[in-house]
Amino acid sequence: MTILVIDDSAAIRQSITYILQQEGYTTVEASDGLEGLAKLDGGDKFDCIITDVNMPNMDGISFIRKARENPKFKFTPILVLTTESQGSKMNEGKEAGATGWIVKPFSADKLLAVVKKVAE
Amino acid sequence: MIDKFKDAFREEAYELLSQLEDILLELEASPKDLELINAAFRAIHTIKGSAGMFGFEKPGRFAHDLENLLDACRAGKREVDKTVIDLTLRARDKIRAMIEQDESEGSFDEEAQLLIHEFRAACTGYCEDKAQPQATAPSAAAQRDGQASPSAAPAGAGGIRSYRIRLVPARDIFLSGTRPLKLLEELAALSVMSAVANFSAVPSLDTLDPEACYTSWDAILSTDKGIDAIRDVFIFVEDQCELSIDELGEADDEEGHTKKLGEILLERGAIQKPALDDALKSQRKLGEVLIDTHAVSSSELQAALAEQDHLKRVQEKHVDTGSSVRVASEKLDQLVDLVGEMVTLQARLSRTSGELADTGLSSIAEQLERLVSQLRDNAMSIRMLPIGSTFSKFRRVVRDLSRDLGKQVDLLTEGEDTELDKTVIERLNDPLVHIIRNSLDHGIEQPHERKAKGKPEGGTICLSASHSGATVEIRVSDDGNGLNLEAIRNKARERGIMGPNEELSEQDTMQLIFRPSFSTAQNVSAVSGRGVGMDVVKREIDALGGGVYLESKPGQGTTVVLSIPLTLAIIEGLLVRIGGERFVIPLSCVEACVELEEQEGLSEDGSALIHYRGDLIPIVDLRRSFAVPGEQPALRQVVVANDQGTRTGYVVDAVIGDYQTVIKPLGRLFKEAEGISGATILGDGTVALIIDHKRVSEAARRQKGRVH
Amino acid sequence: MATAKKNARVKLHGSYGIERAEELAQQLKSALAENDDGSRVLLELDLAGVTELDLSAIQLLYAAKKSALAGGGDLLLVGMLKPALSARLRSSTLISTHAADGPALAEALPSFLNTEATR
Repeated sequence: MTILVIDDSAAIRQSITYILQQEGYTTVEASDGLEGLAKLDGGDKFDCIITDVNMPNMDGISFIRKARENPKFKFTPILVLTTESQGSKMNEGKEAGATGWIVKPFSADKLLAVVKKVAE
Repeated sequence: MIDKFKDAFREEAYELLSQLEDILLELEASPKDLELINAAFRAIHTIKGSAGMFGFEKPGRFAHDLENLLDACRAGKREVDKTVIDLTLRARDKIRAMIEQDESEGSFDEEAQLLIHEFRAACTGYCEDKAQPQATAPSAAAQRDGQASPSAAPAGAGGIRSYRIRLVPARDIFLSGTRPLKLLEELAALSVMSAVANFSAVPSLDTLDPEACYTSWDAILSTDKGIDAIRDVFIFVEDQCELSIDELGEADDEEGHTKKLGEILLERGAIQKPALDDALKSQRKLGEVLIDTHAVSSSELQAALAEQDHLKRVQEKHVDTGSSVRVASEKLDQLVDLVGEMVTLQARLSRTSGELADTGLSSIAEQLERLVSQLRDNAMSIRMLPIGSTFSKFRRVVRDLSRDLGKQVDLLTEGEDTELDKTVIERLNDPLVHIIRNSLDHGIEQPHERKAKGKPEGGTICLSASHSGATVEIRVSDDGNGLNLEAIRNKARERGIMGPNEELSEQDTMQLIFRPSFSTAQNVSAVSGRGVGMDVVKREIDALGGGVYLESKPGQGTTVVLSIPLTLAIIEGLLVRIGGERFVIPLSCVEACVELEEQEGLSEDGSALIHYRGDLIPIVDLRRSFAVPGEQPALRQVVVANDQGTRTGYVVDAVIGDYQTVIKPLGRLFKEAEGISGATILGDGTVALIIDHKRVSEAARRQKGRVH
Repeated sequence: MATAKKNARVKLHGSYGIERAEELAQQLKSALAENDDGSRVLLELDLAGVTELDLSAIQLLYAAKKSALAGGGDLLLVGMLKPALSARLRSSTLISTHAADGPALAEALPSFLNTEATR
């Protein structure tokens, strides 16, 4: 299983990557939506995508819309990283085509549980 | 969350904060620059979002109110003025100080409290009150996700409740990356569930959108985890499906009362009371009446029946734990023996009463037949035990053995609830140990080999049991290397079991490993590979009246399938006649009876092939096989028997009918008698032989192989 | 009225997830539309090579069965199922028996055998 992790915060990105790799997932990192799209075009197959919402250059919501236009990722599970205060982002994310969300702050167990829930 | 990323977070936060400082200073010069406002918001938002994950819960909380203020500016609800910039700068310094001093939790100091107060004042009248973040959360489930839920308290101490769940996913649910089957899987994992999928909305191919979802589900779930655990399964799809979860009333377990079908249909809203009352007036089965009169759809009926069945099962389990009695097993054996005798006698009575044509007697015989059949089922069920207890023993076997062999192997088990006759379970233990040892030793590769093949280093052995008709199927699958057919053939040629130019089919080749002293292992290990084992398995399973089959995919693994009769003592059979002799063919393997077209190409030795459902199947003339004397009638019947997908036809003079019979083992004298697995005493006192379908069909296939 | 029946056998291979739904739909359509001479198509769908069937694929089996019946033919499921596949279908409660081959799966799928023709 390969998972694309998109977040402008290196700390978050690395910690997610770390947790996922501990469980045997392969990860690819991108620091914003644009870079994320570039990874999608790069020919890799992703079984799941985790993306932050607020990012420079291209935000997570726009990224999801673009990703869903790509036939290769039409049905790929996409998880949105969001904070509690952003309830509306969950809806916005779902409307854009996200599969689910992970609320920050989250524990390793929570992250893995959500990934298992939508992917695999 | 993880301390090793704490420093990374700190560095990132410092960088964001210094960026924020620059942004704020620029913003002072051009307060209408939306780009800058957004950047400022993002910086604070990122810090707030990640702080909590790296042990900086306090600065995170502190940033929350500041974020609200900036959000209002961003949305154009509030102007960016000197107050905003000034406040943000001061807050920035405070956040930095908190991070520097490693203030992870606790209450805010005076300065921080003052700042928070000022943010709020600056916000008043401009921002929506986001102080309670949950207010805008999209759903109740999402709220629970954010914080420990007070309603997550367990539903009573260990209380198992049943819920009725109806799920109708939106047509476009696939387009959000959601896989509805995964939801069901997750739901089923919660505990005992019965679900009925409804495919009636699926249109024909030309009008169907392949990427739309047309399926809905009705499920009944019994769990002690509470309704919230169920809701959580659907947390991401609440707005994408029609979902109803209703708790069912306390199971009324006094006197083992189970709900009637009509009650359930009413509760489900599938039918109205008057329509139900109408249907109940009929003397026939309620379900049939309702379907015939189109009062309910068949999917609604199926769902209701599943619910009834589920509730019954849950209740039985409940009662089970309530009270039980220990009884010496010999007493049970005696009981089963006696019941067996009674079944035979009963058959005789039915037959005699039929001949006498006395209506009074016939009706008594019929009633007695029903009673005896119930008594038989009851007696058998007392001896039935779940196979799970045996399975759990194998965990230890796998654990110890994989350690000795330096392999990593997980044992998965499935179907522990499957019930089998106690004596059968006892006799299964040794064969299963042999099979599991074999899988571990020969099947699963060493971790480095597996890695080289791109498999996970740890192997898996899956042990599952399930009902399949009158038999129980036990499967032991491994994800190892599969059988090396070539090696087996070579070995067979070496041993002279197979001629140098003889070819054997895959299945026949695989069956060779069940021969005595047949092992292809390169090295004899302490565990297996001495050639003892698989032949013992075969012998033992044969003795139980069962069968062993292999499925193997090179490089992907091997599955050993044991097909075991539910019980040893009584079988349902098909009684057939050849000349003056009668034989019983086990009903579990009978697929159909067809007429034999006149001498349809029977060859000298009585073997031939006939067409059946587009398949060519070998037929065996039992008259020849068992050398039954007498004139052969012009019109004969073929009983088509199916054994794991392989069909064989038996030519008989006539089919008499279903027959429930007690198996009497043949004496030692007949131990070598091929093709006969036992005998039975018929109603009229004569003896009929029970055909060992597996042996005979194997022999037929071998013969067929030679003919070609 | 043509009563001749023509057998067609289609072998499915690999994993049929939603990504391949469109492809599978086309495959089934062409398999059912094969006979121009008016003979009925008896389509045998061999599932032995299938590693995964998701909901979209199962729906297509129903749809194809309906279409086949509407055309006077039929659709049969044949072939031994991979253990992993039948285990998966079981764990998602689509089937409750340990169906081991195509006919058994057809029997285990809710009302698959009673599917009625629709146009």
